[in-house]
Amino acid sequence: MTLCPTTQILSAYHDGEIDVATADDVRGHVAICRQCQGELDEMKALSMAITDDAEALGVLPIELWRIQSTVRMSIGKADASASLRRTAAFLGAMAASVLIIATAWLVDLERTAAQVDSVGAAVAVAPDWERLASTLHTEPRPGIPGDMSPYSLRYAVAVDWMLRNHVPSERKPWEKPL
Amino acid sequence: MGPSDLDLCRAAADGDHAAFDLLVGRHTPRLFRVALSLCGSRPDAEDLCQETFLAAYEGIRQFAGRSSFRTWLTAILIRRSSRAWRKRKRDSRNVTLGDGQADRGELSAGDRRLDLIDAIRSLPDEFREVVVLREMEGFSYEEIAEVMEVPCGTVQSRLHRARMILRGKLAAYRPDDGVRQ
Repeated sequence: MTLCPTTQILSAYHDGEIDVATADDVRGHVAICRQCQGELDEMKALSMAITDDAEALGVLPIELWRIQSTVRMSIGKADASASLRRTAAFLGAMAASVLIIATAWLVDLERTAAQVDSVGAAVAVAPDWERLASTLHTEPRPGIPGDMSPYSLRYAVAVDWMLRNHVPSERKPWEKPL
Repeated sequence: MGPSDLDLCRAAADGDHAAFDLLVGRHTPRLFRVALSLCGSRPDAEDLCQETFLAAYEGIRQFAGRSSFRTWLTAILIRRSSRAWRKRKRDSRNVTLGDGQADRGELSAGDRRLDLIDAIRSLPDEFREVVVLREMEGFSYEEIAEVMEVPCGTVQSRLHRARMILRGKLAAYRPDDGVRQ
């Protein structure tokens, strides 16, 4: 190599991070070029200064102890909270399972009851008044025939049924013959 | 000779706290040195080391052993340090140990050390990191490339440029100034 290598090549040569052939070329050149030799010496001096500096940056025993104990404590806490999270997740999953099973059971129960009801056998039919009463709405809107909701209609039917079946005839003046 | 880092990592991944404790003890001195070189103050370096180890513990199951534990740990530290450094720069609270070489008169070895530390810390992030990893920790270009997730050629050029900048900053300590740039 007759021409001076670039400072980047010299820098890589100084670090020993260059292929063997190029390193041989650079070595041969540096042996005869004072300028490149000076450049390399500067790089070495800088590296040595930084290395010396690094040695002064050692961790003190108290710092080492603090780092170790803090890490140890934090890891213990992290593991404890992870275990708590796992337990909570397990309990949550259990509760969800119970809820799903109970819902499925209720749906199935209703379906079975409906099936049995539709067949009309083996089920004691509730009296009319009971079935009507169980479907009554708390806020009936009687007297507005054009705007009767299903609930108010049920209410009207129930009242009618009660009047006809449970009110004594003497208290039904409108049924008395004129 | 004790168990290897990889064995300890596997044990730690299985929940062995003592194994991780051993790893912490083994790598703290080196990691602290890197942290201190990058962030500038001992308490910050301590915090950075603790954060790095905790992050390593959280991700230890992902460590497959393709690179060394040292490289993996350093990569975590570098990422965290860059984040902290950027935040600090945003907050305009740069940490400096010295105030340059102005008005010092005669330059002593102590001055040189302070100026060197200051010069390294004033380098742009990517240059500072390669200098610290190469010159202080003796990482190979390949290891630095892995830590910084850049090609080896980029490591070579960054290191070269960082050296040029450092030489410029420390020109006052050079016996002669006849070196080309």
